[in-house]
Amino acid sequence: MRSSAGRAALLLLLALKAASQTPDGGNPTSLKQLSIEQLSQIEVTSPSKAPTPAYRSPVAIYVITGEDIRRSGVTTLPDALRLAPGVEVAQIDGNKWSIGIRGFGTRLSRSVLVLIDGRSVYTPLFAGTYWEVQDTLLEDVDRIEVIRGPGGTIWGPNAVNGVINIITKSTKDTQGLYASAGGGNVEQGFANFRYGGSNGEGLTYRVYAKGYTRGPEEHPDRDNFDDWRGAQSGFRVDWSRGERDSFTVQGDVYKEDDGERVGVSSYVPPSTVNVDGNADLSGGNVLARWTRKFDNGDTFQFQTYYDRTNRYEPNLGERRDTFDLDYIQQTTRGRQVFRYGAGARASNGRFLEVASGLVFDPANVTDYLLTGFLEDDITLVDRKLTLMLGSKFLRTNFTPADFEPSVRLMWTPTEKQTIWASFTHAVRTPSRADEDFYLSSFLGQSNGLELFARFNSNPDFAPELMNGYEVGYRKLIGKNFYLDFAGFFNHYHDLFSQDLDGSPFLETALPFPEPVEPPLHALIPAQFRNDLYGQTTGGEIAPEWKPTKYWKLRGSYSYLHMDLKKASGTALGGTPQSVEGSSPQHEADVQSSFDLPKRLQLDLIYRFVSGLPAQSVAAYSTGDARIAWRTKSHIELSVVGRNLFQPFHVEYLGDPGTLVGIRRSLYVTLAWMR
Amino acid sequence: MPMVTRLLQIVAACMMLAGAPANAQNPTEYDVKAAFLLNFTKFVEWPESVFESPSAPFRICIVGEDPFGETLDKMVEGEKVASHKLVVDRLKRGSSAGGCEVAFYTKADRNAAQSIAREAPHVLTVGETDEFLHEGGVIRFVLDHNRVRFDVSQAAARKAELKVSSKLLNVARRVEDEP
Repeated sequence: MRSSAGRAALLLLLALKAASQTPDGGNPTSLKQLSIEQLSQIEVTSPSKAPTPAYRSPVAIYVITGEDIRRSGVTTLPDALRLAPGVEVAQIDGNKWSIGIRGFGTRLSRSVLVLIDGRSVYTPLFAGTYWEVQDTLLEDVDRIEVIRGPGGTIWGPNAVNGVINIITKSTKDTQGLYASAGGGNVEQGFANFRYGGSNGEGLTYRVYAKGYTRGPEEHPDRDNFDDWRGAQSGFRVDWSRGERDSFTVQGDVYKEDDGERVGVSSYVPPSTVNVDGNADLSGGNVLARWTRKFDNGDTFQFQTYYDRTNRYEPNLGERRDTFDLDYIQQTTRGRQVFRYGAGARASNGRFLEVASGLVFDPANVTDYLLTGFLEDDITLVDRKLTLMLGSKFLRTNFTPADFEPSVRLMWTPTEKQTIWASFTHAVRTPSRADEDFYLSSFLGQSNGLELFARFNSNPDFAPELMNGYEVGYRKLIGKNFYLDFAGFFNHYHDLFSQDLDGSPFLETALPFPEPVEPPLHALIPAQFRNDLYGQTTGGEIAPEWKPTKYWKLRGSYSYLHMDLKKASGTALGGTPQSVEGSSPQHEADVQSSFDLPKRLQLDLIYRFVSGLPAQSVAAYSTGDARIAWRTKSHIELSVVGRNLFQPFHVEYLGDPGTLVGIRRSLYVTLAWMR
Repeated sequence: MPMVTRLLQIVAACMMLAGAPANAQNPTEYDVKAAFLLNFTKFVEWPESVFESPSAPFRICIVGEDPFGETLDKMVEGEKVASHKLVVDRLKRGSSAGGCEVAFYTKADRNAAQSIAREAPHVLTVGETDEFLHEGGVIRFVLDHNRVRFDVSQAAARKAELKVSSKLLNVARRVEDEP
């Protein structure tokens, strides 16, 4: 069915595209047949990452380009992040990931800030990112900038261990039609569509839609709960009036059914049960941005967005509306570049209780965040030495006032070398899950009574603090070899901890309102507090080599050592070892990209992740491969195999019960662009 | 150890494949830049007086490091500007491009500014650094979303006594008219 439809489409497109204007890439002299307008539109392969501004910034930044994503064959944003050094991506099951940067990876990872086109997708309820609902048409992603280490001064609170900035292409670069469809064993079926157009007077736009259905991963107990279906659609309009003003309006809507297994505890029998069900996840957002460039090079940007998130899971529900305003200005005065700005965000969340074991009290709260920042880049020696000083100032409904200062020094002895060092202080602000959350778990029967442990709310939860010390070195060696190294020492205080809070006792009344009076039970009281501290040390090295015009090799190695301790006189449920043992000490990857004759592309990826003792996960290595063939008429057929080295392997224990195996997968895609 | 073995296998496989002749899908940045250089000769007017004779060559000079390889030479082969045969000359970094009609400075040349300031009129200076136009250059290449675009300084063109056609200005990403 698919193949005959595909063949018909192929023939149609072949007819339509008979007169292709694309020159034969193998013979550059054919370029001289093109007009200057056509030359300006040709996409070129750049020799390395060096020309991007990221190369000359005193931050441990890695840029995953849209091309890198496309050629890696991934179908989700979390899997794309495996291409960056220092990022620990571990898949929990079919639709959940743990993504940490430089340690502290968990299901939501509360110290990593994620933005999509400037919109924060950090949830203020549980602190962190629900990766399963962060999506866009991957073909339209321009780049993902991954900043390892604190980015609080510019990006705001919770950017403690890193920032992930997902940036989509301008609609100028997505003109025309793109459509693709395919399927395989885990990626059972998917279809993507985008159309971009313009009015010829500075306004360009695109609309897109995508849908997918994904099968379950490997379950030893054969309870295949984690299949996944979803659809998303969106638009973007860019309009510029001369060089001075440019406007962007964009938005998305999505709806998903994510199969999941959750533990539900309740003070009314049955005391505990694992539920396999579907999470009904939906939402949408709309964002507007205005950028003005003055003749003297100064710029300002004003941005506002609204985001709606609905989560109806088998054990809880949440409806959230977020409004955000942001203003940034950049001014150059002599040897100094000033950047300053202000932002305000209000996020109303309504919690919907399913069982008495998981309760927020109060249920309905509007969180707010007010920020301001000032940064000054001072050129000390022209083109050679730059000093950056700055701080963010912030206030939330949970913290009266905090600041996130940073000092960065960058030395560029030659055009091809950058050496930098920095000190930063970063803050993870308390969330509702730290301050007004009651989380219970049933432990068993004791003397004829039900025994529970419960984390009670903690209105005194303090911000988690970090002082980061970093150094970095980048060098372009010859024309084709690029080396990027960064090292860090991070010192943490007041880290999130799971404290035992006194001896077990018999409880008659719950501390939060419940419609049904619970029977008498025994309780071990506990609380989320700030009783961990310690340090992490490590580094990442990421070389990139382009030995020939048609072969690119890139790789990375990341090392992490975590040393955490509990504050004296405290009794912890979760130990320092359980945090340390949930992040890999060693990670390595190699990606090889070939442009072969006959418009064939071959990409091979190898990766190694060391074991996670606290997650009962052994070290593993695996590989991906993609082979793609493009016709002269821009039809592309590709075959992707992922996790090829073994039938399945485990990466992270995030679901109740047993580890879920991540399967070897294979899928075929037919795409056409016009 | 298995990790190292597998790595070696991958690298070995890659090496074997690299030996095969390849037909790169996209042209490189400098292939497109070379084509632009050739095109500039058609949209800029040089006074006939700069040539010693009708048969004198039209010189495109690469000052300093040559990023084009053979591409530019192949491209200009058999091309003419009016009666003048196009030739490519390579000059040492820092040397004067007097006698050239087009002078291209690579981004590796950080002291291009001094050279440009010394240039005689009638040399179309083309460069790649951010500051190139402010240093007195006429055309600057920029990479914009993996596409090669260019900016033009009208003031510098006037100073060099060159006439840039409006067609070229229309395609330019930006036209600056201040020194």
